[in-house]
Amino acid sequence: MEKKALKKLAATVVADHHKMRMYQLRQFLKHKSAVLAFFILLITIVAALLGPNIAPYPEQGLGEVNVSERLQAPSAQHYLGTDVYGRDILSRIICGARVSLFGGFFIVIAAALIGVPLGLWAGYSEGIPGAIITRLVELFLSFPSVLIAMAISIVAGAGAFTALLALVIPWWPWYTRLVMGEVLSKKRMLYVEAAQMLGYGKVYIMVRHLLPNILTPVIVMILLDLGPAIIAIGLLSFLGLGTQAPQADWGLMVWEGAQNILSEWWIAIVPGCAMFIVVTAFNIFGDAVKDILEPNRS
Amino acid sequence: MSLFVFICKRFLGLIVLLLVLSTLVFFFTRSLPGDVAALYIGGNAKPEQIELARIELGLDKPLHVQYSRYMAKLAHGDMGVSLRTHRPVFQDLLEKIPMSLELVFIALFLATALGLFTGVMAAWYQGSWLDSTIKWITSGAVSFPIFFLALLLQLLFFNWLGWFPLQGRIDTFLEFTSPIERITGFSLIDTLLTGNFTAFFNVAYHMVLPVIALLVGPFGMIARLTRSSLLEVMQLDYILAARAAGVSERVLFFHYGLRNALSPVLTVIGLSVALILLATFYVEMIFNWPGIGYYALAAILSLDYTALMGVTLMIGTVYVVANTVMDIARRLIDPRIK
Amino acid sequence: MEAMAVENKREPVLDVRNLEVTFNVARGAAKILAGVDFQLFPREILALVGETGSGKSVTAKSLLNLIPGASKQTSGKVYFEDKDLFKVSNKELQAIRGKHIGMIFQNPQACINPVFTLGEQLFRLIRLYLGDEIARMKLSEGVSTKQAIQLIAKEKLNEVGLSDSKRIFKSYASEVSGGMAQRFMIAQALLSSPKILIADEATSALDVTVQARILKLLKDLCAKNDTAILFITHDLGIAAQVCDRVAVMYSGRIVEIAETKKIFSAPCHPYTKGLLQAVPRPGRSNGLSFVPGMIPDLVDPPGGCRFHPRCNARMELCSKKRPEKYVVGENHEVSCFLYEENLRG
Repeated sequence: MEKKALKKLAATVVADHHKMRMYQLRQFLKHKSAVLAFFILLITIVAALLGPNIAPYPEQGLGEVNVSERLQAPSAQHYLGTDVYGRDILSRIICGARVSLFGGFFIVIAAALIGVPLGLWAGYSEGIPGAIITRLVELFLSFPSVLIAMAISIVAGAGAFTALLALVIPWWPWYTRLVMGEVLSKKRMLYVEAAQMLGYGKVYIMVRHLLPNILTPVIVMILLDLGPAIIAIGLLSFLGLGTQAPQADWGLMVWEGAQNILSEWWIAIVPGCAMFIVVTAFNIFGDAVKDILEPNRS
Repeated sequence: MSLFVFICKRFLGLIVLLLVLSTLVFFFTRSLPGDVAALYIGGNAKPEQIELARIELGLDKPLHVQYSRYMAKLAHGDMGVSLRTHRPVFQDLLEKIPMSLELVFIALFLATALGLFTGVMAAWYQGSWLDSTIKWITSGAVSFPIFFLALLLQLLFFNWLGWFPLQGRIDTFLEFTSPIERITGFSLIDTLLTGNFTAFFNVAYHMVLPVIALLVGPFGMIARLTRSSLLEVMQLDYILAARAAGVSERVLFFHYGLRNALSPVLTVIGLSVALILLATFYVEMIFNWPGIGYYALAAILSLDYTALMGVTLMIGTVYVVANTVMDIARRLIDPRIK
Repeated sequence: MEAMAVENKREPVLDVRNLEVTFNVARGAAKILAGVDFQLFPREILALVGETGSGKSVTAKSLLNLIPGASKQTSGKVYFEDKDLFKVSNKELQAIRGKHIGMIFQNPQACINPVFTLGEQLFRLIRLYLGDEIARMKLSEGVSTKQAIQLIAKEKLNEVGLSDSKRIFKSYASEVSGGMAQRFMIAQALLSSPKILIADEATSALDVTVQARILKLLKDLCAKNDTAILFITHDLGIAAQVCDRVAVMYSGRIVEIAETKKIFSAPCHPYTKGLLQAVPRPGRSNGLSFVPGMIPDLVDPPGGCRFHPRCNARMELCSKKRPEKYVVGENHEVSCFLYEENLRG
């Protein structure tokens, strides 16, 4: 075909792609719950980013104690009340989001960055490396990630960053397994064979040809993993294996409030609700995205 | 391959995993902070006493000797003596495990039954208001951090509604007036066997909140997966072919589709066992339930390394066994699995 | 007029009138089928031939309302034995499917439920369709229900050339070859000697040698059972070998329909001519020929005759009006303005 016709064809393809994305966006907007979830997440993320700058009592958010105002119920001065040490809970929530919320992002993205390339490589190369990685993955997958992370944290010493790293270690195999499965099924496809016959190198084929095709399930998994990651961080810090007092952290806050659950219930319930709301929002949002990007699954 | 060969292979894998596990546990507990011998003696011990304790515990020998002694003892079921309770760890575990398992089994059973049912209903009535409601409920169910849920249940059902007790396995009053005779170790079974009905109902009553806390998460997971797996399966070619052959929608869904859809669900049920066991730690803490989680926590706090080894080993074994059982169950349902 | 008289002598077993199917896709409404008309007569083999995207598979599936999905609209009439299949109740349709109208598909192994044995699936259908036959056998030969079903199954499998029935009963979908699987599907489809068998690309996924055998099997069995076949295929060669009549589909419409010999010897529609020329023949030295252009965008199709942009005989009228069906010979109809003189009466 002549150049002009080719250009016209290319333009149509690009326009079609744009149209498809617009269609998908429209579909997304039809999920009212997902849109709501998106806005909740947006607000939370922005608030967390601004951190101490928008917290009403930033010093307390970061740990300063205020004994005279201990255990106060929600009021005009302290919208969400004060905790056992008199610190403003709202500020603590905002400051705590740094670890509790962004920590979740860190874990999942790090796990994906490690697990996806490993999965690509193990799935694509025949023979021994694939077999070893498969066994390793299977080993990690038989135990819950939090348990393994607990063990690591106990040995390495408690701390926020240690806990995050400790969670990444059992987390990446999930991505490797996902990617390996996808690669194994797509490996036999004609476009891969064609690329091989054209003499393209292994890495090039993996990155340029296989990767774009497995990206969708990986993205869906990342979105749906954010909730569990946030809960995992909470599970660790509740036991004191994560963020250390007096720093703010949602899981730690629940622990601090657990003793007074029957009387000053807000101290534990508010951070717990924060976790619950954020995780639910991620789940609903992730579900909607999954329905749209992988429509054959419904 | 035949079912028998499959089971044998899995069994072998199980043994290997257990060996690896024991080794890992050994090194793990050796790397814990704190001086074990000093803790064993406790109090203000003099250096000579600590040395004696060290020799007594066999900690003076080189690492590989310790390891072989450890493995040898393990083969005989000897997990050493708890540094805290000064009783054989094995005995401690035997006593505590049934308490936890009671909660775990009931929670697992209810989570699976309710989850499967809910998932199937959501898939069958796809698109309806029932489906939407179920989607909401299950999304929420998997979003609860277990410790938060447990505290919430205490707040709601004990403090505000007064329907269920706060903590413990049994009213302290009854512990003295109608003590539970220990036969199997499972309180519900034991109380029934001895005709101790007051205790039976009381224990059941105390179980409600912990079990609810444990089952909510897995219930949500199982329901969601069942629903999506079913919907996915119903799109496949063999369903279309069967529909073209005149098979009714009902049979297509509940017979043709369901069997195929169950395979990934079984995997998740296996995962749920692991998650429930993990959650039991927290639930036992918050509800003061005298089970293995409680024991493990005490072990961690007092650096009772023999007990920790025992607990970790036992938990690991349960996970590995649960996974193997799930593998076999999946093979039974789906003969394609190799 | 004589041509019409001949047609009216036979009653069609399937009469499709103005079948339209529209899917709602990302970019708008795609008119997949834009008015399909054809008739299938008893005991004949009619080929529905077309390229990918012509809508032939959608036609096949729509007849029994097998296309899932809420985002589609269907209109038209499909008459089977005086009943409009689009108007009958679900229960009635279910009763017709499989028992009176059978269907086989392209990937036979994927069409067998992987977790049940072939035997289990076959027995279920036998129970479903052949209750009377089972009862009769119990009375006349004194066997139990289970035995009666197995006997029937064995016989039906033998008919399709699967003689080791005991082994087949216990096999799973992953354990049989493509050819065996398709034979099994054919046995299932013909269990109750249906009036019609719809074969949707039934041999496209098979090896060539296996293909030939399966085609022969289909032809023989259907003749024996008095079953008419609607054979969907993209392969003209197959159409030529097996079928009595050929209907050529292009972009959601039938453009030409005639007896096989006629289609190949005297094709009328420009598209048919192009298709036939495009089949490479050894010995021809003037290179590969092809029909220029691409299949039309179904969301925004060309006006009038959908083929006109690619047609080298197009007239101005072609982009404005849609051609009707014009009779050009005995049992030969074309949808092309080139043949407008012979308007139907």
